[in-house]
Amino acid sequence: MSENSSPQNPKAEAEAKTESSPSSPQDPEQLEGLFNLMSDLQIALANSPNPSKQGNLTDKGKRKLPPPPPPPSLMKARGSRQEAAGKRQEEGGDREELEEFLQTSEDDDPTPLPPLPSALSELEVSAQEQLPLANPEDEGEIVEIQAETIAESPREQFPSAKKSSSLSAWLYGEEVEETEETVERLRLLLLDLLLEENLSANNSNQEAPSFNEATQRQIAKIDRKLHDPATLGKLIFPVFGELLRRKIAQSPQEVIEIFVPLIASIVEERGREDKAAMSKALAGVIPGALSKQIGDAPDEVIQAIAPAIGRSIKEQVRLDKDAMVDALYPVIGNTISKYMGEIIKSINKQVEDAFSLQGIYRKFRARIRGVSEAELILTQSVPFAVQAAFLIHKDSGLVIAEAQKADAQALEADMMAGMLTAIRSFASECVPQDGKTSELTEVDYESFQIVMEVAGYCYIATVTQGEPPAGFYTKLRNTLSAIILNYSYGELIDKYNGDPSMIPRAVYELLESLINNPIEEVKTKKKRRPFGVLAIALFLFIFVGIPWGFFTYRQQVAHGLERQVMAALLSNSELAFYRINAEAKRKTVILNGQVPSDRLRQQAENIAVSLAPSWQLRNEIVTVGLPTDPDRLRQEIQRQSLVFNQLPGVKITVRYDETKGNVIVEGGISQNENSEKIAETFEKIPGVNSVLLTLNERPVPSQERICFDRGGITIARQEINNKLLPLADYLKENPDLKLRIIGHVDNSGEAQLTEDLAPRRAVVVRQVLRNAGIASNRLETTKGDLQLPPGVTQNDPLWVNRCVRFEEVKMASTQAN
Amino acid sequence: MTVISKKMCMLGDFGVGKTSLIRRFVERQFSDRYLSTVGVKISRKTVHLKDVQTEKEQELKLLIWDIEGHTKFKSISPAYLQGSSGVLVVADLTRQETIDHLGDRIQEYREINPHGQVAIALNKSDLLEEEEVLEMKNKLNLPEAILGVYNTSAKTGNNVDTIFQELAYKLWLTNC
Repeated sequence: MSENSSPQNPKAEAEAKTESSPSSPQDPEQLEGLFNLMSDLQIALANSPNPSKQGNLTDKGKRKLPPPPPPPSLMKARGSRQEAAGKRQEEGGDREELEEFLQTSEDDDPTPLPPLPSALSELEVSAQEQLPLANPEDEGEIVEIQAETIAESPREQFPSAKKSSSLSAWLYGEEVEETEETVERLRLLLLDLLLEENLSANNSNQEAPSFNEATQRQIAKIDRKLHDPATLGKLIFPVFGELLRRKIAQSPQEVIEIFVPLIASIVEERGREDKAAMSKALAGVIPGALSKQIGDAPDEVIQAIAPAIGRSIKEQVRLDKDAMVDALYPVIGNTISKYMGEIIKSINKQVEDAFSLQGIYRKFRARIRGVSEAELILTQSVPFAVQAAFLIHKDSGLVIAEAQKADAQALEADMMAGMLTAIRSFASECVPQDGKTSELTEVDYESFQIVMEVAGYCYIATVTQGEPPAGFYTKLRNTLSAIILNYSYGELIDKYNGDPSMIPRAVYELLESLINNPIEEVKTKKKRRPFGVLAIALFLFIFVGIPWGFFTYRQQVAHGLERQVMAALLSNSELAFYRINAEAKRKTVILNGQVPSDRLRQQAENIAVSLAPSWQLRNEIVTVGLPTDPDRLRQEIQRQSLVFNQLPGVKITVRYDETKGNVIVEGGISQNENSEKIAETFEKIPGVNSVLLTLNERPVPSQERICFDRGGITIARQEINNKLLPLADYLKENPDLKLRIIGHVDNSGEAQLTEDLAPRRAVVVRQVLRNAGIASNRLETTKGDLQLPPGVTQNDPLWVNRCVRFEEVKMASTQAN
Repeated sequence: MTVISKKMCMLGDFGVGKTSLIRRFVERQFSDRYLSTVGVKISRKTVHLKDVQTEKEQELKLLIWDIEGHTKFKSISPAYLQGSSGVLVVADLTRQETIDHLGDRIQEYREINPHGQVAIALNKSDLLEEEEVLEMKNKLNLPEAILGVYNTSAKTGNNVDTIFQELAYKLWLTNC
């Protein structure tokens, strides 16, 4: 049973000593023996509450540990030693029973471990805790007791030891000898335990209470220790690993069986406790495990993974779309490019003829149908084809006639017809139409459609590929009409009995033509449609285009005239200041705007008439006192003042008082008529309420007269500054002017006082002017005038006569006057 | 020789074995699993017929509409019955109520196809003793003009071919 046991291992023995174990920990079988023994003890303990039995135990107590429970009963038991001795026989039987039990338990129970910990710890506790208690005094007694007990009942003195050895013998057979030493050790240990018991037994008479108390305490302590997992663990710990290893080496299957039910829970528990560590532990093996399993049983792996693949991909796409695209691109790209390659060829062609009539037609169609041209090109690229056509009895779903494309895979006409019929019934039933009958006309698949045209008792179902052109529907309708009109008589179709031979050949031919020329009708349609469009275009052209063109032309002519009139109005200096609009409409020129006077209104009208003699004229110009624009008014005033200042002898400054609307004219004018003219002109300006003239009478220096004292020829300083110097300036400004200087004397006989007084006065003045920088040839002096100066009468004071006056002479006519 | 096509239906309460009968007849198979038919399923089988008197022969293609079974809550769509030449009304011998409903089913069919041929299959006969089956058959009180009542078993195949063959033969002869 235990060939590999090694009880003589010194190390093992040492361990055994420290552990107070009678067998080597290296030897699981021996350990087991001990464990059995322990369990034996344990059992005894478990039974011990019975007082009578307890008595027995304590009496020959060398076998058993004293039980922890009720001390009184213990005392009683110890007291009746004799009585207990009488029961030895019974006890012997008891032992046999135990041994039997041990044996059976060994046989039955493959895991004798459970009782072991408690028993061991018990032992250890008793060994460790009790030994130090024993003082030298006690020791002597121990020996004594030991001797006594041995002498007394050699046979039964060490039942435990015997039992142990017998057990060992039973367990190990020939190896009994070798384990004797261990057994001896155990015996000693047990004796130690017994010692205390005996001590208490001996002392029970004299000092029973105190001793019992101590024992009880010890027992309680032991009991506590017994239930303390830490102590328990400490005890088992050193041997447990070895124990397990041995067990595994010896009968791995057993161990596996023990652990198998736990493994899953262990892994799970560990995983829950520390996911990271568990992941780390498993990480290394999982890839290998997976690839191994894929190699061994690929189907299993596939089945395990398959359900998650879809969702994994979805999740991956959600997380990182680009990676997924990259991964799939090489595969999908090829597939698509293969398909697209063909389509692109056709698209190229379409693009090439984009500017052809067809292209324009397509653009037109795309616009009309509201789809992009590219989409239309694509639908045109997938060629439309009819794969099969069935004439199906509406009620029964039986195929009356069929035609299928020769090169395509034949469709199961009967089944398809049946299912289609069922679907039609189902659909029309599921979608309530409140009284109206509604037919299913199309079943759309990704790559093909089933297009149906339904009549009273039968319908045509066609399996088509590509986008059906409009012409196909027409053809389909025509085909069905033809069948019904021509062959539906005599209830041939209505009461179709399932015999296809009854159906005329022509029906088949009609269906075949549906396959061979699915869009035959479109050709005529194609021609017709542009015609229709053209007709509409023509109609539009005639009834909209021409009038519109005419209208536009007239508009342009009118606009031209308007522009002309406006330009003319603007170029007129007087009208340019007023906003006049010219509008040409229906052979009429309408002028509107506002001018300040009727004259201007008329003037504008005249201009317009002259430009458009053949047009009628409606003059809507209003004459109003315009709420004038002050800026424009100021400009006008400024302009007029400039005009007046151009006149000889006029030197004015004009101010405009905005608040009162007054024009204030200041300055000088040479002639009175000018002042009237000025006032008139400014009053005419719209917005001017009144004109205030503050003009002085000496506007021109040449009109001035230089006065002299009686008989004198000296010119007063004042006269030079006020009159002669301005005169000199005036002459400089008017270089073509010459001045005749005429001297006068008064008529009081002044001439008699001084000779040539008049001419001398003129010379003096001339001299002053010359000094002021006027060339002498422009200054002509006369011999003097003895007449009164012009404008002076006899009644005027004399000093008015004593003067020099000037006459302007044009250069060219020096001799004038 | 042209093949004549005929539409026929299967009628009966749910779970009486309509689909199983078709499977046995068309695919020569039987399965214990119950699969409820939703809507309608169409099967097809061509049978060879021979008129013993006239020595005439004919291939007849049966399009068998397996219509979903009646339940207490849902009757079937009459549209599925339209245009069928014959019907096989099925009952389950082990469920008396399905036998009781036979009359209703026949009535329902006749309303739409007054001239249709009607055969009755008392299915699952393998579950009963022969005497019991006979007793049940005798107890039946059905309207006249029934082609025949057959005790069938889709499981053993008992009478399955016969009933379809008979029905097909009748459809051919009456040509409706």
